[in-house]
Amino acid sequence: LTPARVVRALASAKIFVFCSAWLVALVIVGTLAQASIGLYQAQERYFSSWFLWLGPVPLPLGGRLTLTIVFVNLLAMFLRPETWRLDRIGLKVTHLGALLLLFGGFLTAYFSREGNMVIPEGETTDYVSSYRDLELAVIDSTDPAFDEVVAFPQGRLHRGRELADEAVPMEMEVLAFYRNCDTVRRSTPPDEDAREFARRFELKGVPPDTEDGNRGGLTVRVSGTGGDGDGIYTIVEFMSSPPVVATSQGPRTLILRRARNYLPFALELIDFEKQLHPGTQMARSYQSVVNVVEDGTKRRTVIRMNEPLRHRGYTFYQSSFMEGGGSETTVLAVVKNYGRVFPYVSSLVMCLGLLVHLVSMVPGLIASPARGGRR
Amino acid sequence: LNRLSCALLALSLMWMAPGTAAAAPRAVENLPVQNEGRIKPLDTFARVHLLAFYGKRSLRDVSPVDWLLELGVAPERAHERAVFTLRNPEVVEALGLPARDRRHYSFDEIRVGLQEHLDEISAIHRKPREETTLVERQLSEVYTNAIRYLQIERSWSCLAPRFPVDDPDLAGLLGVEPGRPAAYVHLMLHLDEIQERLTAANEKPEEEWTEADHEVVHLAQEMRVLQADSGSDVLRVIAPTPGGNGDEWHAPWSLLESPHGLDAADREAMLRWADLLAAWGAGDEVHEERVAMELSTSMADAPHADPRRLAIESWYNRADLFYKSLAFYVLSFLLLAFSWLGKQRLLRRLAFVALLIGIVPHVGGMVLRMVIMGRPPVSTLYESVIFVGMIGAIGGAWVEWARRDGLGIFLGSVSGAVLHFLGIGYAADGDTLGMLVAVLNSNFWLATHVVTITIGYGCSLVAGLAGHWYLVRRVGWPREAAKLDDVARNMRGLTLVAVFFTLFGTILGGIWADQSWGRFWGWDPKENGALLIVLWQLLLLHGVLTGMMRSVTFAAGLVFNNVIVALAWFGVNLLNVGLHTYGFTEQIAWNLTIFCGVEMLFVLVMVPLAWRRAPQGRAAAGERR
Repeated sequence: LTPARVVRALASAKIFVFCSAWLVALVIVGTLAQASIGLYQAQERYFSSWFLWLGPVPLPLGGRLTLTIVFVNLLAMFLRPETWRLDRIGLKVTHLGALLLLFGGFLTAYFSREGNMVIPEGETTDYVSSYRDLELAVIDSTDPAFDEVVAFPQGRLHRGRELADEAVPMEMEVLAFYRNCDTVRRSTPPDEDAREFARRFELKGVPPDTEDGNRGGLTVRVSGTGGDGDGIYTIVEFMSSPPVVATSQGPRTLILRRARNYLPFALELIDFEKQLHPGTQMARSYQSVVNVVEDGTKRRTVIRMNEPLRHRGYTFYQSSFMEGGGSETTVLAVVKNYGRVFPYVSSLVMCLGLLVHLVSMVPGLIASPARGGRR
Repeated sequence: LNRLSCALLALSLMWMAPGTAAAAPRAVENLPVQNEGRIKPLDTFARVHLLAFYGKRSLRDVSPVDWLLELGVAPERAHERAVFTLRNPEVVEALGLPARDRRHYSFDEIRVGLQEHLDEISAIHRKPREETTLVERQLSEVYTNAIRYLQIERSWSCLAPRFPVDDPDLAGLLGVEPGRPAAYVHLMLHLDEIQERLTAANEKPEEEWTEADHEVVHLAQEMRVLQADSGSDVLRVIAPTPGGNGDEWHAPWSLLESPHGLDAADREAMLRWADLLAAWGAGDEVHEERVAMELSTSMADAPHADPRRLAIESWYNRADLFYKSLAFYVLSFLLLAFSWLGKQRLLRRLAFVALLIGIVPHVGGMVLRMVIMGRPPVSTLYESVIFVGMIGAIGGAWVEWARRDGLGIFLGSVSGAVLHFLGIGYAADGDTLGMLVAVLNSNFWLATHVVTITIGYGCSLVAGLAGHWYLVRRVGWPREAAKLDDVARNMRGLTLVAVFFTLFGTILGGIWADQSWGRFWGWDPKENGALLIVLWQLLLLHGVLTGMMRSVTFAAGLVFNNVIVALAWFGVNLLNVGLHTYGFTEQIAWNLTIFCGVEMLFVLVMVPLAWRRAPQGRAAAGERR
């Protein structure tokens, strides 16, 4: 078992044949599954996964693992100098492009950040909200000039976890957390420590929504407030009046919301414009006129469909909008992606490689032998 | 032979030029109207509505625009014209109409039928759509069509010559010749004077009224009756005021009812339109043409109303280029089929010429559509069908050029003809030159992505057809091993070309997505469909490379590739998730199922047969390896 042999085995095109056949199956199943479980979950389950989970049992070869094998397979191919032949240079270049594409895919999968930014007309926003992850924010509004916020990310909201922070004058223990839940009127008498909302309602976990219609819910036991705030609190997403806990250092509001990622600058929405095709209800274009607010200066710019704003590594795309009450609110998709350049480079490389290969091979494969075709 | 080809070429070109038999094109056909979000010639407007009512874009004995004008000027005559087609005999029965072979009915007939069943129809409208039966849906469609028909008629009514004026004094005031009818718009523009005369008449006892008084009173009554039409604003034929805000065109009635009144340009345009309708009603073709030209010039500066572009669109409508192209593809295939019976060389050459001739109007139609809409060739599903057919035909011609043995003719004529048939099915939905939703607005990456991927679809279909050809030959003529080997090489070559385009089309799609909404790949069903094609083709190529697949498996894989292409192309719309689902009809789902079923059956039957017949002869050694 020499290294050369290992490389040779790893570089076998047969590995790719099996992997691509497996990918075909994965893509079919993963696409059909979207009709019932929605795009995001299908993506998590089949494509972004290392293993396919059958209940608690991990089965081999989720999408990510399969692509990793293909990557190793390709890499091994480049480690075999004996396969470098001038007449096959086009193919080599094409495979190099594929290698780059996969590498870029890994960068994107692990290092890209995305979310959205919601700005009502005339207002300014300086954070990006996560598409899916939640956070528990403990807000101290005693100073009228600004709110002091301590946020606990979704990763820490597990049953039995203690949530504590120096800046928060209390301890919390997670009693229940649901990514999607219904609130139902209590059928049993509440725990005697239950406060406010938790006295009348309880949470019932439900499976995640196929679209993005999830509503998170959290029940915590608060202690050590030093005031009379100790007790059990229930918090759900989009709550109109979130619970306020009285502590020795003043009231603290508990909010369950989309995790926020603050930017080193802010966007102010000056105007949102929507155009329809004349005489119809069909959208022709949307655009947001915004100010980029940074270090006290403002720079005016327009974000349109297909014409995003790029600033400090972040890209802002016109994604959606909300109307109502006479004012408009724009929704921008925000992405920071380090692997962004790879598809561009790799498509160029593959294009060149395949073109060279096609020009040298295809005429011979098509023409009849009598007319100069290959035998 | 060359003489024969030339003769065929000349004959076909003569047949292809439109309007040789029909009358010369008229300016009125090119007049702009705003409909479904774009400015189109009146001809398109008339044809789209005929398509909805009659099921075809033109009528037998009257041009589409004449039908449209007749509806405004001589509604009584128009109502007797059989322009409604009831496709389902059960609908005919439900409306209590007499059974007829072609099931063409006039508006008068339909109206009576509908009036007697209004309760039923309103009951259907109250039901949720899923609970309605086919007949009920069709019945409600007939009702909607009849309403639409009336709206068009009523949109004209303020411009149509409806009020005969005999009093020379009054006629002079209105600007019409005595004895000739005036339109509502003439009366409205002189409403104050008419009001004065009416008041004067009313102050006198009725027995003292002159002829002129009687006429004014009568006119006033008629005007009041016509006022009921004022909500009809289907025909937006008046350009917005230059420099004004908005690019919405106006219907004549909505201008008359507008609180701001008419400005000079609107007034002039309305009077010209009234003049045009009067000329049409009087059968004065020369005057009609002159007024239409004036109207066209006066609106030429409005955005998107370039008269040349409108004229091109009317020409495109009349020319029916894709039908002609289809005819030649079918001819080409028939000639090829006959060439297998005898007279091989001659018939095959003629078939090749027919294929080439068919490509000319195919490409021409595609180019005209680009000129008319000012956008890349493929933006809608319909356009993708036509474009893929074109790629298939051109690819086939290229293969034939390189081989001269009929394979290319087979590939080109079959893919071209089949996709034309499919396109005709799509075109039955309405105006094929539709506007696009915001996300599909023109963009460099989108255009290159769509064009590349559709070329990829086309090449894939050609390669798939080559797979069919291989299996058929292998089963039917297993002794011709050298030829089989030849086709096997061709399959690999075509697959390489196909993978080039599908691969780049897919990556470019990712780049478009990255440019437009910030992510390169999102495992969206349409993206997955494209990826599936690429993976499948890569699998086939690497399978052959490693020796894991032989030619029969490869050919079967290519046939199955057709199924994957069809599913990725049309089937994705069945899933109803993701960004890419635009427009789908039940018919397509059915056709798709049949297509996939037939292809699978083909594979299931042919592959075992092919395996049993090992090729013989010189090249067989290579095949067995």
